[in-house]
Amino acid sequence: MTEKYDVAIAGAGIVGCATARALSRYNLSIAVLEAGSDVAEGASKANSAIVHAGFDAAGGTEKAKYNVLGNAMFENLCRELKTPFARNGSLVLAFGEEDEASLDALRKRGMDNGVPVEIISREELRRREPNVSHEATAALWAPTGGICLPYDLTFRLAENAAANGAVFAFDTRVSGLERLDGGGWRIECRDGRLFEAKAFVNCAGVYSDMLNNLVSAVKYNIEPRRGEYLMIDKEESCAFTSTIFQTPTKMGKGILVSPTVDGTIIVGPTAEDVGDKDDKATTYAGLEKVKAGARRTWPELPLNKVINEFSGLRAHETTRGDFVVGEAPDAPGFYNALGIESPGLTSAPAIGEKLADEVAQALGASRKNPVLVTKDAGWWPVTRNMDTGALAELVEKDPSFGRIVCRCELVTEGEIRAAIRARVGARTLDGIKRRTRCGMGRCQGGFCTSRLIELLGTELGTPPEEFLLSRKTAPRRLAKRESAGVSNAGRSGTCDVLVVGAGPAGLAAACAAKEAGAEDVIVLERDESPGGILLQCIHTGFGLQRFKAELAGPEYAQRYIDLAESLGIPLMCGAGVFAVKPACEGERHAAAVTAVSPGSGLKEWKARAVVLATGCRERPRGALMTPGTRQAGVYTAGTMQRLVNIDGIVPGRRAVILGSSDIGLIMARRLVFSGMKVLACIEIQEKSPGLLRNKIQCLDDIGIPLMLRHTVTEVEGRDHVTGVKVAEVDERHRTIPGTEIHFDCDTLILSCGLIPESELAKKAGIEIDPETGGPLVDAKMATRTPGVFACGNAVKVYDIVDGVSEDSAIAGRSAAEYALALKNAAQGGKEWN
Amino acid sequence: MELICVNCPRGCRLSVEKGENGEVKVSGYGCPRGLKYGETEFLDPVRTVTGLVRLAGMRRPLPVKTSEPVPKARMYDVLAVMRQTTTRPPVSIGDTIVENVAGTGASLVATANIV
Repeated sequence: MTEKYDVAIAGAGIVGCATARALSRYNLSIAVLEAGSDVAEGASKANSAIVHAGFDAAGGTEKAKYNVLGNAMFENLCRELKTPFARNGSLVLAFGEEDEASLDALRKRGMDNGVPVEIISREELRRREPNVSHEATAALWAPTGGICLPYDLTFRLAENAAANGAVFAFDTRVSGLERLDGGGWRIECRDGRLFEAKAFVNCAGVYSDMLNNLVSAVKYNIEPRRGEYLMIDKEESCAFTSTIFQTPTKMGKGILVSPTVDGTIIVGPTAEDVGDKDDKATTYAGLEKVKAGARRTWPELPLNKVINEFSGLRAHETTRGDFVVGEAPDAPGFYNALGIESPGLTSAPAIGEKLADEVAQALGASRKNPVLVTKDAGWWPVTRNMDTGALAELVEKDPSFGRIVCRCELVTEGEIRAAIRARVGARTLDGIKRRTRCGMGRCQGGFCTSRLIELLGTELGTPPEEFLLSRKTAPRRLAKRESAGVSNAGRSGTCDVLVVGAGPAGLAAACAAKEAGAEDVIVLERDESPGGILLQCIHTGFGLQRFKAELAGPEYAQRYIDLAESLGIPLMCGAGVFAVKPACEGERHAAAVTAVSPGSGLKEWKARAVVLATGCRERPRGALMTPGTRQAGVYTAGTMQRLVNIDGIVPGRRAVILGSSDIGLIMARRLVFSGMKVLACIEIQEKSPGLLRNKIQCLDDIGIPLMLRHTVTEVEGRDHVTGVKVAEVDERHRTIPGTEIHFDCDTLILSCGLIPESELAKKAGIEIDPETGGPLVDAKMATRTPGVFACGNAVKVYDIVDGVSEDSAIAGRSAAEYALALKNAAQGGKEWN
Repeated sequence: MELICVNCPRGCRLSVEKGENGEVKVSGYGCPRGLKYGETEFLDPVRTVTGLVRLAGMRRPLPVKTSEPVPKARMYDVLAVMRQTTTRPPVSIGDTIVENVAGTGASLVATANIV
């Protein structure tokens, strides 16, 4: 069956979506045909996110024209679409006289293009950006430069277009084009779908040359130019205010360092011509170039704060080197947006408007929507940005907005469900990530992956494990909405000791506090049930000292849960704590703790003492800087443990394990016991950091080789892992050439260490121990903030749970003592010492 | 025979040999459990096996363990039984799921409460 539309647009990147949205103002039927499974799958999701001022492109070029036009549109566009944008200004650094000459040429070019620019001195530069290298001698300042969130903007353009009638077809790659006798185009797609359209708009990114060359004698050639990037943690968000370029070269604008609208810092890109239109792998060489280039601008580039690396492909056109925008001269009704490399993001809104006007005029269409319908077009409440009053109201209406799924970025279940239910809704893990930021933070999906596949599964009616395979997307199906029902609990409360976290540390602390005389002890737990990480540790070996028995993780947890219940301690599950505010001097509590839960909405507790038992998280993949294409099939050991032991999903056949800390060793055995083959456990150190008994029972017993002084140098496979390369390293952990071997596998498990989860502590201004990454505590487990205690893996990573229980009991007793002293003081008694 | 005791994280280095009269001599252990470990590991090594069994009507599986250590050579037979077993909720910690699993004399017992 042929589907007929007035206009067909090939490509749902930012240019295709901007064109679709601009066209949706007209009385036209529009179909967007996208080869990938979501919007922004190409360059739109992997670029510098810079809205260029427009001083770079040579005067008279299409690039210069659309850059300047597009830049001016960003404020209004982003406001209308409710997507972030900031005009933070751009600086181009000069390092010495030669660069300064180029800078002046750039300044003149900017003025020719009508862009405000000025040269500033070294002193002025240092005043504005104190972290910039001392080597920089001058800079060009362009105040109209900005930053935005490209995939969010693309999604919102698409959602807005869809709200105004445009239709999106994913996994639909245009493979053939034929001009119809009466005008218009017959469009064949690879999946067999057939379309007819009066006008065809080519926004196919790196593939746009192929579509053009099908119909026009004016041939183009797109040479994909790869750019690799590193993303630096939000902790460094204050390092720079402006986007910092270096004086440009032939190959591009060089390595930039820029804040992002999310608060992270982006550094990159490289510029490397690659023949392959899908080669989005990162490489050692590329990432080294990024680091070296970025250090010129930012000598203190903190490599230990890298949370992610990625790469994207620019659609570089080689015959003209400029944008090609408009109707092909020899193919009426065929419109190009071709060769849209940098400044393509900036130019996209202007290109979209231009193409829409040209197409509409040719088709004689009239404007039906002078103002685009924006109501109900993919906007859901973003709880992270809400004040507490609004959030409380929202949770009362829909409790799912009180259930935090992503703890790093504070994304709730309500937001994730809304992102899936949107018109151009998420159908993949990546789709959710880009629409909500879920999984984009420090743990990079370590904690939430399991929950997300469950939500995708229930919303779309597909088995959760399907979503772990990269290209697999689910068919759309409407799901039942949850009915709201909130118990009307109070908005505030007081207690003696409030414990954050019901894992082994929190439970032991709460029980000890109660036993030491604290009356009201409560425990707030983010998960649906108490027990913490022990629930997924189904192996035995816990409690040899504490209980003189060899217990499995859930059994150990249950002993403490039972004890807590017998002591009358309420364990409040599903309650995500998002703020701990230490009290001022003279107040009768130590801190105010704010938590949100689907059951009781938003609640503030005034606690006489607080115990932080927030556990730890795993070092994610990005931070390890293992190059590759970010395929499916790479899991941290803890994520895999949850998938296998809690969700009952075994998502692979043959695995290699990188790192031999305890959880990696435990998972090696578990995977074999679950029917997988484990080929090797790779350890970069000379000795495994794991316990000896784990090495014996989990590797030696099973016959899994432990390769010491080796590391993974490459992860192979495009969409899914197909193998890894492993090489020997020298004493400085550099790979030794010629030692590389290959393993055929579909799964790579990362067990590369744990880091204390200290987000709440940091936000509360509690002093952190730079060595452990957790709060600094004394022998009583007291932090430097009076009345706030910390214990368990949130303080330092323990080898065994008995050690956690012992130290946490100290924290509990100290907290009880503090709370009671505070109570007595209020009644004229003695002070805490 | 040189061994590392796996009973606790201390990981004592044990030395086990057969005495003149056929008796097993263990040295290097730090506690009675270590002595026993040395003896059994020498004569007939055993392991507690943990794993999962299906729960009827539920997506999530039930964690189980053998009630006592089973011969190391029989681990995979026990795992095969786990794979073929489905039980029904509710289940409490310590409930026997399979008796005399794979003929080892040990039972499979639940290690979590499922309502």
